[in-house]
Amino acid sequence: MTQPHAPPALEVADFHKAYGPTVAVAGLSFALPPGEVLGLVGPNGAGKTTTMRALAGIIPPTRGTLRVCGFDVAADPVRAKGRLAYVPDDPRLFESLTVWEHLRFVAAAYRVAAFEAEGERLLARFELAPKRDALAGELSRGMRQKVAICCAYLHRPAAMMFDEPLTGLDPMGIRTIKETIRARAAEGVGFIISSHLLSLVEDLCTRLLILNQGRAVFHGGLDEARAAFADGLADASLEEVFFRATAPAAEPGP
Amino acid sequence: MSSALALLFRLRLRGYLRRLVRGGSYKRLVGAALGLVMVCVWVLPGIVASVSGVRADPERVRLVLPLMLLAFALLPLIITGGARPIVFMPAEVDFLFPAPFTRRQLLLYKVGVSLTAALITGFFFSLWLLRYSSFWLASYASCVLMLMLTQMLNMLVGMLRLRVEEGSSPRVRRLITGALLVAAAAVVWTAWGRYQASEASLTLVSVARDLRAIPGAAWLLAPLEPFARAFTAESLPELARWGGAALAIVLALLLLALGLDTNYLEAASVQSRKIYDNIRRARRGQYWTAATSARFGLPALPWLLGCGPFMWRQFTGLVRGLRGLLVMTVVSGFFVAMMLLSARPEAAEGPRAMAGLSLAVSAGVWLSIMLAMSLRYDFRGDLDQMDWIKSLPVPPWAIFVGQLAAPVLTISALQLVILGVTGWHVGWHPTMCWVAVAIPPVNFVMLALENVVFLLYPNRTGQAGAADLQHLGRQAMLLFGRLLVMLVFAVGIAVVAVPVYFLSGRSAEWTIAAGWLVLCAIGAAMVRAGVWALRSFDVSRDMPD
Repeated sequence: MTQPHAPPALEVADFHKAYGPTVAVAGLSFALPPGEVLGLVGPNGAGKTTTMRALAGIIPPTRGTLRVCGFDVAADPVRAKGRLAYVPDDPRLFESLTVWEHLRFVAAAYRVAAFEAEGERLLARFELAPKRDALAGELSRGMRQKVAICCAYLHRPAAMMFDEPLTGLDPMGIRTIKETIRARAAEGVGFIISSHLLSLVEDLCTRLLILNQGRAVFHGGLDEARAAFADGLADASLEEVFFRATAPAAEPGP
Repeated sequence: MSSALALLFRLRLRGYLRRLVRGGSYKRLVGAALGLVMVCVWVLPGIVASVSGVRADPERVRLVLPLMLLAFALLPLIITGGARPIVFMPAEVDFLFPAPFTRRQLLLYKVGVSLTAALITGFFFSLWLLRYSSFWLASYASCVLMLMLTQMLNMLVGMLRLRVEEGSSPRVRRLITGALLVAAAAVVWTAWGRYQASEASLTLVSVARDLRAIPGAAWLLAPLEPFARAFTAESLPELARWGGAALAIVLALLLLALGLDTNYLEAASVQSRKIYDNIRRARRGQYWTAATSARFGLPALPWLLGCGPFMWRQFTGLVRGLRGLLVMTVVSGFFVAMMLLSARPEAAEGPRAMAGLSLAVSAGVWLSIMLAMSLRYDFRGDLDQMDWIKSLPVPPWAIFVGQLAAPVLTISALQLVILGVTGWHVGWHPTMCWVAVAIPPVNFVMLALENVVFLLYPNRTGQAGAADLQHLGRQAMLLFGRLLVMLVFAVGIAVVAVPVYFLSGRSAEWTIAAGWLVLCAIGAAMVRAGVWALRSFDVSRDMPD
């Protein structure tokens, strides 16, 4: 459940990231309250993955502040990372470790005392129980994705980020991940879901952040997005909103 | 080290051992046995020499070893430009970087991994180098320390580079790089001057001696002396003394790296992505010659009975991967030039043209072997496209010939250039014409054999892990098989050419012409074999992991 005065699950203030003369993200600011599911969308190269990698503490910002549950990722990375889970696009596993050993390591890394029951439950939920002792190198693309998702859920983080979470998943896997995201969000977990599958974003997300060329084009609720980019048409699809928002003439929004 | 990272370390070690001993099939056991034999063949000369009392002069070893170690330590830095402070595997980036670990904890974890690898690798190196050391423990301890030194040096330089990049402008960075290059050039120039002034041949000992007389180089070599002293230690107390000094140097480098606490995560993440891409390229067998730019292209070739489109595709890939090929040629050319320089010109004996021809043939054979392995613009580079290739409406023989055309013609052209330059430089010899005529069919037969074996026993280049005896043994078996077939071919040519030689009144022309015809017949037979192998290749069964 969301605490009355809980800090935002994720908070980004004036985030800049540049690689020499190339600006990947410029002046991005947003806050994700607990329990919200934020859809992060934008064309290729818009800065979505860069933003998530910076929030995960993998890349340092050129300027700006990034916080996880109030903890500065740059100043207090260990506490910030301890409250976050990040599942990258095409997660790569330790080939010589079994599925269960991945969970075992993650439990140790995030100091989860008794992880066994939760681990077994997650494996069963994602239909990985028969593959419990299989080597990661023997798994299909979709199964590897499921293992990474199970690892992310194991330590019950307060904020989660998924980069293209549905890639390679079978219909049952897709249904399961959608259900788990909704359930965890109801418990107060803040989510960022980056995906080009706009139907997924429309289905799951309560808020929307549209990036284009490293800048925020829109940040707000889905209805606000329709009001801003689809002439307020309540039945306008997110696809329509997306194309209008990222069209060359679109101006940066709030 | 964090307890979670210690757990990961143990789990990975267990996984590694599990991988080494997995399975128990007959094929795997034979592969492992052959791999073990290969390792023994590698280390046995060192052990035999040591046991029989044959030992290198310790003074010479002490003189040369620091130089070798410096080269060994600098090589990765030169190749990467110090851009790889610590190499993290892709899974480590995905799991460890977002996890609640400090940078120092991750650093210590990687040092632990490196130390384990050094303890294993050092064992083999210690046996291989035993003849240069007094006793095994000295050899082993020094090898482990030397391997760790190169790791620490690489890590520290990379971190310093990141620090400099954080706090300086590109102009300052260029100035620093320029100053380092000038200093290196000055050392090489001074050493070259000393070599020119001396009467001695260019040997490692002479280079090591000359470098010690140059202040900059002497300072660089001084911290490496304890490693050489430990390696050549005559007794345990001496080993303890010099080994302790070497260990202190390694620990000092580690402490410096820990003290810097540079934010290496982004650089390591970028490098990891590059390594991942390189692994994928290596799995296609195109590590060196993968396409780097689409700037160059080739016009479409005519149909050529179905060979044309395949030739065009492979040649286009080859042209776009020329940068890697050029780097490889320059590096190899450097070593050949060093070999030539190390021998004084007056040492050459015999007729000038024949000596040149021998040199050209040697260079050509070396080029064939090296390029046949690396220029994988044939079936070996198309493993992931096999289902697509097999589905095309082109006769299998045309697919086979078209797929092989690019490497065959490229290698042949390079060999003909070498032969032409040799002829121009040292004078023409009639045999050169016959060699020139024989070059394309020889290359075709060699590469056809290579591809037939590949289609029958496909494998990926980057498939093996460290000390994977089964893979090593399998490769040895395939190599042995290829050599055996080549021997059969040579005997087949001799069976026809030798009688022709005597029947034609010892005419070289008739003999070579007969041999050439047999070679072409073997080439045609290889096309048949290739068609059969291509048809036999079952994408649902034969695709390796």
